Amino acid sequence: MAGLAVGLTALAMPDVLGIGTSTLRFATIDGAFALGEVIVLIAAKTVLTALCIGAGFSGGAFSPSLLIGSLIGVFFWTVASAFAVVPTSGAAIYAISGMMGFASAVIGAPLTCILIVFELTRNYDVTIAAMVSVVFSNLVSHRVFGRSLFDVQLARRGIDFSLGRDRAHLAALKVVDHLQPEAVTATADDAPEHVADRLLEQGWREAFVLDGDGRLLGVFTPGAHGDIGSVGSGAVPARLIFDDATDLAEAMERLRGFVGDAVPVVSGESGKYLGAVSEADLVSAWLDESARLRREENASV
Amino acid sequence: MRLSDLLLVLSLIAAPVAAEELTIVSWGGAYEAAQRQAVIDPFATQTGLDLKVTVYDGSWTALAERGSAEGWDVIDMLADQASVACAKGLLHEIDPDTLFSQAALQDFTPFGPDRCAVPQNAYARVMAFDDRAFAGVKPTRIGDFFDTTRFPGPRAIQRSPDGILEWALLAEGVPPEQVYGLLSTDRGLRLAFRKLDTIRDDIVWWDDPAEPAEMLSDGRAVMAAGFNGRFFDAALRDRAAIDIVWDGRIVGIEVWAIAATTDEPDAARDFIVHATTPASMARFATRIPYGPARRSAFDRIGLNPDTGLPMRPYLPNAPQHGGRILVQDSSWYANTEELRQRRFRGWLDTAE
Repeated sequence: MAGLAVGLTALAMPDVLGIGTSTLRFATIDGAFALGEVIVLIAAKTVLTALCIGAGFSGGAFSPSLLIGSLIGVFFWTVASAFAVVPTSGAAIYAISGMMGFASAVIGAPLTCILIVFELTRNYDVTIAAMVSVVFSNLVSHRVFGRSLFDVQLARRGIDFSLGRDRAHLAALKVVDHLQPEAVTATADDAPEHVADRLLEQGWREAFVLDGDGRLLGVFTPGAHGDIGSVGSGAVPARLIFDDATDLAEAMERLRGFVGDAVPVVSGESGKYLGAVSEADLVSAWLDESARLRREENASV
Repeated sequence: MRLSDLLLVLSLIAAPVAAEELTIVSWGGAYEAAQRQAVIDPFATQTGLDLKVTVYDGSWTALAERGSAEGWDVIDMLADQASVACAKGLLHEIDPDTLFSQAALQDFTPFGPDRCAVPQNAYARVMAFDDRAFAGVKPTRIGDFFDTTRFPGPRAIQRSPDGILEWALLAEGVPPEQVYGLLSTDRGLRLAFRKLDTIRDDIVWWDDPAEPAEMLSDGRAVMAAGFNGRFFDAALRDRAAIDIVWDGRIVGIEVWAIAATTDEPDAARDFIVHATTPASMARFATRIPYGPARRSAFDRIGLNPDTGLPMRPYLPNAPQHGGRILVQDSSWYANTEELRQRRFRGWLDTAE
């Protein structure tokens, strides 16, 4: 479908095809496009690019962004030279500024784009014009959209770079990988004395009470309730529960103000108890990962 | 005598049926005269063959009509005509790898031999101007041809789309390597004709390639598009006040090819090998300003035997010219013949 749409559009407007080398060249020639043509072409190229990427065609967003950007530049030149009372420079400057302003916001690389213009044109005037457009386009797009198309795409997959690289790394580690095998569990009808003995043996203060299907009922702490018949009646709901999707970064946030040995981890789907992670294990996992990141950062030193 | 020449002679002597006559087809005029002196006569002396020279108009249709009947063997063709003729099976296929060493194949410029044709020389469409018309600043770039404010006056252009469309885009700032790509689009053609519109009222048309130099001499035009050889003749032989602007020159390549109907394929191949040695190319280029198609031939170019002038500055593809150089895209020419003519006539008609 996307291919058919591209083909049919290209019959009327061959400029939408390919990486647009010739269209980019035309964009630098004054008056190569009429105003209406530019608008239709920008719209068509944007829609078709989205369609093709969405349909899984191989290809990226970079070269379409160069083309769309320079056409936007041409659009502004056409408008400016038609209505402005002051004389304007050639379409080429507008096209380059538009191209770089647009592409830098899409790929999130403003400095790179400014340097590319400088390298290729070796012209201070063009570079300054491009710099102004790059700076403003990045300011606007950062507020409205995000840092770059790639950041937004990654964020959709659950990788968020907006809080820094550490955060992204920690978010990739799941607490479910740090389960403590020695955590003590009990069923609701276990005798309290029996459970207290087992806890003493393992050196833990809390036992996790499960029902017949293995779902978590609550936490039992011996000695907190006076005389009770079964563990079930003495169990209190856990103050903090992680599930198998909880990552290290989130866990560290939620551990703030938590008092206790360990946090139970349940399956997000079935609610079944999977195990427990101790506070000490989470802290050491966090420290290990931070140390690894520091080593990686300083690897070249 | 070099070893390769010796082998060539031996192979011809050893051939059981000695080639009696080889028909070479060329263009006539000063061009053919130079070719005889530089290439054909030395080959005849060397091999003892009887070489006959016939003249044609350069089109592949002439080859189809007359080639077989008149016994054409070796033909001097334009690269685009040769590629059409090759595709139509009118040319005898050669194997460049057996005719030339790897080093020789690398030596060809801007492109090497293909399965039907071996490049022999380069001519160019250039812009020239009447030096008397511009007392101060002279035109130096193709853009100046379209700048009637700084350089007012009539411009002489061939009544044909060839060359002028390329210049129109070069004047718009398109780099030479993109010109044919853009001219292949409708928008590119429109832009080229739009550029041509800016000088529409200043154009004087010519049809005979001898005219532009005459128009510059007698004041009918101040700038002209034409072939470098003609301007050379006017400027150096007739002492006309003509100067050539080398920027934006459109270099075309002439090739040697063998007719498919030849009865002497071996002798024809030997002739081509002889004609495309750097020495032959250099001998030819010192007599008429058609540049050699091999780099190493430039080192051998000296004085013109008639005028005593050094010839290197007048060759269209001489490396020292600088400026933009556009190599005529023969396949583009071969494929767009009808389209170009139609669009050009359409543009001419809108004038009236």
